[in-house]
Amino acid sequence: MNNWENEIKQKLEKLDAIPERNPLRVQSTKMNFLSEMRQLAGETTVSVSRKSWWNQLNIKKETFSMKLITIATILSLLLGGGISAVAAQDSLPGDLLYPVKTLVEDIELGLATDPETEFDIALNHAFKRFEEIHILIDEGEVVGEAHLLAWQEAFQRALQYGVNTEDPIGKLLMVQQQLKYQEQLMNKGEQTGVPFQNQFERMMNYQAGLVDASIEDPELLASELEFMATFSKQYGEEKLEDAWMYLYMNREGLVEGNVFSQQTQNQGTETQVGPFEWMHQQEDVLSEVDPNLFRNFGEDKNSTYDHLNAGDNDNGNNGNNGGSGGNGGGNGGK
Amino acid sequence: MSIIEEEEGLISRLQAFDMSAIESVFDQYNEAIYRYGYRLLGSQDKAEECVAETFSRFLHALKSGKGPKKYVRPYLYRMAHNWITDQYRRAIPEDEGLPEHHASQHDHPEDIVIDNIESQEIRNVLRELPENQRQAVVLKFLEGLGNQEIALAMNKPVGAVKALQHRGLQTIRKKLEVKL
Repeated sequence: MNNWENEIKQKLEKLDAIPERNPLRVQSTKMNFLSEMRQLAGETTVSVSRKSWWNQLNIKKETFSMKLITIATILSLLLGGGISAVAAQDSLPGDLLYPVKTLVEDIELGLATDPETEFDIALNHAFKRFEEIHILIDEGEVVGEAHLLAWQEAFQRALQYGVNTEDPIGKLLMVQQQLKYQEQLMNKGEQTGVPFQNQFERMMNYQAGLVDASIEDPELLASELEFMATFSKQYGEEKLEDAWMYLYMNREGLVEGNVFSQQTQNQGTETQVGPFEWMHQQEDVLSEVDPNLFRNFGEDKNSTYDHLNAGDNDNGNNGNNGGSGGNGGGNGGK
Repeated sequence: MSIIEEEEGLISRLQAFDMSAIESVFDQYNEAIYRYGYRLLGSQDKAEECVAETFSRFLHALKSGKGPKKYVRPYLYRMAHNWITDQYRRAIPEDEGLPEHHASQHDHPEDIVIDNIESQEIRNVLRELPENQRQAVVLKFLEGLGNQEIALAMNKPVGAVKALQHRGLQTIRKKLEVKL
């Protein structure tokens, strides 16, 4: 072989150095591939157009006129209350400046214009809610239901924005990673055994199940989010919160025969994701849930749980593909 | 060749849209397609896009009764190649800037710069090659495929592939001389 040929080949070899792939991206590409494959195989039964359900979501996103107000608020904060806004960033729930912190966050989210940025911001806010709870626990402060629900709301919002991006599975994987990180941090902390901590653990487990199942099938998450929006519109936000609490407390007893496990059984494939209870399957039960069951759960945890677990919760097998609840139309913004 | 023998049982499963077979193809070849994309496009983003597009096209081909008739790997390279060629056509025909580089602790800044410049130079020269020559050269000298497999990927006789490789190397030499 000629010398020059060898020389050229050596130069070509310089292209041999390939940077390491981003594991999240790799996973996301594969999940998208599998999802497309299942869709082509006709296995995905829920076919909700992304845009149509998205418009119906109850997401707290500001309208254009609201944006003008937020710009005015920013200006006033910068001119008059800049220091308060900065100081508020370290505030915790219950602090005087805490509402300023959440206002600044709302403004930050309201000003974002593309789904990617919205998702990043929402995920960051979800982590802040977690940090606040973590700090409160460390400081021996009382963590109330409102804190837990604020965490959950921020978390749900991140999911909603994530599903609206070009790469929903990639975003869900990021949420999954963050959730795992939060779980690790919680496990490192001192286990006080107090009710709210058990409650938080249940919430985290439930959300982890939701995210895991959604990575397998983002369309189902879309259907679930749509259901929540409609449920909240129909019964009010408080009822939705009660419904969450009901699921958190009952999840262990209600894992049989849900949509997700049925699907995977049909495929005959193994899945690492455990069975997950979709909220929309529980519609009949949830609409009947008595809010009084959830009051003061921290003070009388055991009796509350006993009562709930004894309840009639055996409708997990109704095979009802509940996303149908989402035909309410309108954008339901508040 | 062993790869070709291995794949023989696979084709009928793929044609029947057997999902576990399809998934195994993805697992086996997505990394190779990524490397192929990266070498020719010099961007991680583009290389990932190349993987996603290649396998998406693969799925749709299988679904519509097309897809590989005998061998999977050459078929995938062909699909990836078609996508990359589209990218070349769309891109501004000027030389690209420096590609992403992922430094290790042992890298010296000057070496990184030189390596980057040389890599980009060769990538630009490859880009300027006639399509057939580029494909024959890259599959052989970068992807390490045998000539028989390259012939399958390119739908050409082995003799023609060898001739294309030889002409490709000559063209690279000329272009590099002009540049230097």
